Amino acid sequence: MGYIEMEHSFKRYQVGESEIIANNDVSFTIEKGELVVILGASGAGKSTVLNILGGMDTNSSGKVVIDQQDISHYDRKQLTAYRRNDVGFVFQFYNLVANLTALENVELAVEIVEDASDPATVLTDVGLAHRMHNFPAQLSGGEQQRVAIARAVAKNPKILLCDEPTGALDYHTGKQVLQILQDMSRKNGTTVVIVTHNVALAPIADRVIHMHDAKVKAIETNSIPRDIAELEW
Amino acid sequence: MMQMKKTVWKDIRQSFRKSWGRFFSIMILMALGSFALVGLYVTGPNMRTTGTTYLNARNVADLTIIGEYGLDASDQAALATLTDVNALEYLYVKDVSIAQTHTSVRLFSQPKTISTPELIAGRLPRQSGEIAIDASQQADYPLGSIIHIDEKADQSGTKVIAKSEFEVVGYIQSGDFLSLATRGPSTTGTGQLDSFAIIHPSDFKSDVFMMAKLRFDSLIELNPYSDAYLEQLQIEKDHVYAVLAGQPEIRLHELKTTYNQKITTGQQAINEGEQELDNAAKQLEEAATLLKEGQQALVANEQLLLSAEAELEQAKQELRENEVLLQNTDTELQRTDEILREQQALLAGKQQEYEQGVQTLQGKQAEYNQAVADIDQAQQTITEQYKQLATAKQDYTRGISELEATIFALEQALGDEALDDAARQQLLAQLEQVNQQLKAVTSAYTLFLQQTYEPGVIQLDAAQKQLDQQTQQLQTVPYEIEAANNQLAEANLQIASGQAQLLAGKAAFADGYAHYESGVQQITTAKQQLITATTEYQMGKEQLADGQSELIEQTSLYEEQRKKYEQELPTATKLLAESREELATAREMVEQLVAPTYRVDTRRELLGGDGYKTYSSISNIVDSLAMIFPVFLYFVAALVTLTTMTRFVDEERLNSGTLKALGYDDYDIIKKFCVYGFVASLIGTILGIILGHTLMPTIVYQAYRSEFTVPAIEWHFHLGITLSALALAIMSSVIPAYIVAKRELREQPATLLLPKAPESGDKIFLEHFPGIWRRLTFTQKVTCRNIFRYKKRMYMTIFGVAGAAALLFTGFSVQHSVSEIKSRQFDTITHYDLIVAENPLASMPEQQQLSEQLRTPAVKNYAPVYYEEVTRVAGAHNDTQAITLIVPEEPENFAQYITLKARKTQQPLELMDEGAIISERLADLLHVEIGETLPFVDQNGEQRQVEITAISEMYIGHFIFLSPSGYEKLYRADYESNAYFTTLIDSSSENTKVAASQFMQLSAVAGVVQNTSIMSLIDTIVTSLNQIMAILIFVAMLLGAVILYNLTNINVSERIRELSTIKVLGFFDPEVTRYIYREATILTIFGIVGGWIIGMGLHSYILVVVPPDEVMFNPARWIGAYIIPVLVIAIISLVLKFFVNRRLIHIDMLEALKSVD
Ligand SMILES: Nc1ncnc2c1ncn2[C@@H]1O[C@H](COP(=O)(O)OP(=O)(O)OP(=O)(O)O)[C@@H](O)[C@H]1O
Ligand SMILES: [Mg+2]
Repeated sequence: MGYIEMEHSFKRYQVGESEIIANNDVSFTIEKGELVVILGASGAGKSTVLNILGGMDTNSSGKVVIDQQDISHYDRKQLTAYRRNDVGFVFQFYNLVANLTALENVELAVEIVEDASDPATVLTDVGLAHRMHNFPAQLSGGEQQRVAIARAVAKNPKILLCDEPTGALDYHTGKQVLQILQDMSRKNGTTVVIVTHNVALAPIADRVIHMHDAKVKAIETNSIPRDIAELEW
Repeated sequence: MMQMKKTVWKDIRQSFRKSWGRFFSIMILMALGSFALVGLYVTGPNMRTTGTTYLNARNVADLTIIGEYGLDASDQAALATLTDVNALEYLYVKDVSIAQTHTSVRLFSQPKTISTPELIAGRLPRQSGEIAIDASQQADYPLGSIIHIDEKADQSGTKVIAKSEFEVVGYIQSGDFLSLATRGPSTTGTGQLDSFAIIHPSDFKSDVFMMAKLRFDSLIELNPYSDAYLEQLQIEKDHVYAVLAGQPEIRLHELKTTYNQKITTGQQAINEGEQELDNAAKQLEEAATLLKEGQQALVANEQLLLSAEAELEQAKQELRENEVLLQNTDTELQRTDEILREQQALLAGKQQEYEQGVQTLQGKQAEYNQAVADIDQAQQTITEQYKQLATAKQDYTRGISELEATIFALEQALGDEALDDAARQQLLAQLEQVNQQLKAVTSAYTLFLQQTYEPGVIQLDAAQKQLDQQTQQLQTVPYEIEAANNQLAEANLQIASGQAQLLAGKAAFADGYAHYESGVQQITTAKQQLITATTEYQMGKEQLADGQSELIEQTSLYEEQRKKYEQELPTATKLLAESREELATAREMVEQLVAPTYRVDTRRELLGGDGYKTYSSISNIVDSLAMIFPVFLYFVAALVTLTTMTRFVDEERLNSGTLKALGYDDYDIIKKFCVYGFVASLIGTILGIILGHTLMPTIVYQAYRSEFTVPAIEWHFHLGITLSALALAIMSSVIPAYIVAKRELREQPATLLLPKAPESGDKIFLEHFPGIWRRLTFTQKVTCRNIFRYKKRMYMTIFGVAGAAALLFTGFSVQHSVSEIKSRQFDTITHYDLIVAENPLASMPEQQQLSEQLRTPAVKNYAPVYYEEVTRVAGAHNDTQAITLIVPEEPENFAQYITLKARKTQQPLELMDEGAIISERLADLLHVEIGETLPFVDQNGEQRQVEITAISEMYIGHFIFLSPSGYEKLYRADYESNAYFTTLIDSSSENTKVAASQFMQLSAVAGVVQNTSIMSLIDTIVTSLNQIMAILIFVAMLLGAVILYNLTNINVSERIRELSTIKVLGFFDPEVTRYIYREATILTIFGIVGGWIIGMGLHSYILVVVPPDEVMFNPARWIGAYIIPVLVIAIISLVLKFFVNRRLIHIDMLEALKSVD
């Protein structure tokens, strides 16, 4: 039994007359502590999968078992509690609260969970000790994304979900961010799921899920995943 | 290009549809602002226009002059010298009360031109004994009913009203009495005027008029509520005073002269009275003599009557005898008459028989004649028939012989031989034929002979024989007739002799009868004579009886008169003595007479003019509110609209960028926002303008209508304020829209296409104090940051909420301030029920009556005071303020009647030996303080001034209080009380009226003042103000709701991304709500506190500007005014929170987070 299991998950959208199937019979398993990359072209249904996994969206049918809990039948409140305690989310566009400093942005998330890490420490961990009291507008994109990661990580979530975390970043910065994520998985044993369309990232993952046209096309596992630093693209 | 414009319009329509909430918000804000502005602005002017229309229609007097001693010819002559007079009319006036009630009525003679009464029903009096009473009495006195009035005689005992009963013929209202409940003081009833009426001038018997009413040319065209009118009025008033200046002395002199004359006549009357008394004694003596004489005459008459009776008896006897004689004659005559009648009947029978005989005889003669004639005719017939038969026989025989002759001739011819055969033949034939004819005729003849001729002859012979027989019979008849004729002649002879006999008998009877008749005549005459004699005798007897009873009567009458005289003598003597005394007092009174005063009153000052004053007060109250509230409302509304429009422009940023990128010019894009703002605010403003013009005046009218006779408030369109409202609407919606949009469009289209950079965070002011900042919890810090981050919204929230809260605070505070007046005044300050003013001219016994009345059990307490109405011009209208100056005889006990105390400290105040305590409102109006001096005019017109030692809490009326020694120092006169403060055991208004009227009935009482006299007017002001405040409270609540709705709405939509983020982070729904509500709550609290502060200012301002001059609103603030706005706003927030919650739950966090940050 995997740590995360998606079984025959469907996501359908009713747009006017026609039905759009964003996820078509998606099934996969992820083990605890793995770094997983979901690959696929634009519109393949990656974000949909991630949102369902993160409790931000519900699937139309199928099971979503996280740590032996099937969240597919959760109600709003349960989903909120799930997001609050078990999930860390990193978006392509950071989504920091502009009115709060980097530290406060992390504190905002930490405030509502027990057993959270110290925000300052986490920020130091992501290399932002010196920018802690800066507002998002005063930070670069990479720094902002690192604050976002810090905010997600500080809660000590069971799973860390990242949707195109490097999408808005340049190569080096992207690499830095990915490094942090890989470290999270390796050092802290956090299960990390990264969605990307950058095929070059596949080697760093323990598991790569290929999606195409709303379906899982293939799942491959790397017995020896590559280190980010070694990777060039 | 056209295509593009179309798109713009479509876009505009779309923007309406997408945001009804925002559209309605702007609309409602503008509606509220313009409603309050227009409504408060137009109501006062409308009230005054209505009032002016009414006053003009009734041609209400500008000035009313009342002379203390009336207005006589010399006064009139003086007033006639006034120039500029448009109309001048003199009236009779008299206060009376309705019998059996406490209702006082002021009776007027009917004014023709000035202050004309308004007829409500029925008609005006046309003749003496008719009355048209004011419409408020309609229920009690229906048309046709009779009003009985009681008139109190004046000091000299004269009454003015000629009648005491009046028939109600109509109901009126008057422009002089605008108030239905408060009509000023009266000299009757309870001391307050309840009603007024018009009666026919002939029902006043007064030498002088009591009142003059004046209208001036210079005032006719002026608006009576304008300053120009008031200024000009003062000028005219001064003229009147100047013209009347010499009159008091003239009148005094005249009056003294007339009184002295009256005294002289009085003396004469007394003298006459004494004379009369003497005369009466003399008359009694004469009557006694007359009675004795009468007695004697009566006895003589009795004797005469007795002899007459005997004579009468004798005459009766004679008559009876004569009557018997006559009776016998009568019987005889009757028998003769019977016999005569029998004879006549017999004779008549014979005559009849004779006439029958004659008739029968004539019949027989006629019969005979007929028979002779018949026989003659029968003879003729028979003869004729014989002749006919003979003729027929001859005819036959002749025919036969002719035929035989022919035969003969023929045979002769045949015999002629010369005859040829043919002719022979022919002749033969002829012969043959004739033979045959002869044969036929011969046989016919034979037949005739046998059948007709022979029987005819036999028949005729028989008839001849019969006829002969008849002729023979007839020959005896003439003899018979002859015999009968002889018989008849004899009978006729007999009848003639009978008749002659009868005639002789009849003549004899007539003779006897005439004799009898004359006998009857004689007796009848004798009888009549007897009757006459008897009647005469009877009459004589009655006369005697009458004479006797009259004598008895006369005697008792005389006895009575004598007794009466003896009884009345002491009273009459006493009365005379009294009259002498009265005359003495009258002489004294003349000595005491003072010069009369003349009241010259404007409409505001007129007795009963409180209504006029209050009516304009209410209109001024609305005016003064119009200066405050709308400004405030508009400020808040504009602020909120500005923020709302800014947000609108922000939301449409992308859209605008796209349009601009497509090549639309800035104008098109700006137009959209301007049109949106314009339409929303225009609809709202028009709504507000309409409601302001109609609803507000109506509500205010409803509040005061029951108090006044003024007709329903007129609705007028006020262009100026309408345009102002529209201008303000544009200023607060279109112009902000333009500015915001313009500023945004200054950016490049490319930039516009990107979302607006969120307001970046910054260190807030508080963070510079790490000591405090660090101590805040995280959420507190975040809240603080957010509050200061959106400054515009912060201001809008604070100001908006403050505005709504301030309005609520003011509304409730004012309501409280006015509602407390009554209770504070009457529960804590004034305790007396009546002020009873003494009549300075009252006599000792009259004064005695008053002190008895004061000691009745109904009166709880009383205290003597000196009481005077003094005046001082003050206030915004330069009105003469009536000030009551009171000097209690015992200042120590005065607190039982009026509690003098400082309002703020509630410490009792003491009257000093010098200086005065004055009421608070008076001090406010005059801006005087403790230690300063207060100048005033006393009732004799003298200027005085007094130092103010303290200011006393007082809500209704102006007062100056002095100690007796203070009075003596100020007036340089000895203190003497002239009135009583009284408290009653039962101080209900009904009982107070009863007590007041009891006092009023005493001659020693000049007037009674009830402490409730202006209460109903105060009530009207309170009600009106309460209504207006209720509207403002409602407006404020709506304003609050709209502001908070807008704020929350903007707050949510502006921060949707931030909210999505925290939702993703796992904030529960209530936490999310709290996240944004926390700031809103804090800002709202700031707003409320601000509202309190502003509200206090507004309230203070209203307390100064709004109340009528003689009324003070309670300036104390009420805790409810602080609490209620909080509750109202809290409730609105809670309701909104419910909606916001729902909206937050439905936020699609994924959608919000998808886009570029
Ligand atoms: N709310 C929605 N309504 C209708 N269709 C949707 C909705 N969300 C996603 N889709 C559709 O579902 C499909 C999968 O979308 P998804 O966002 O998962 O793609 P993706 O693999 O993440 O693509 P990308 O790499 O571009 O982010 C797409 O075709 C998209 O159009
Ligand atoms: Mg995606």
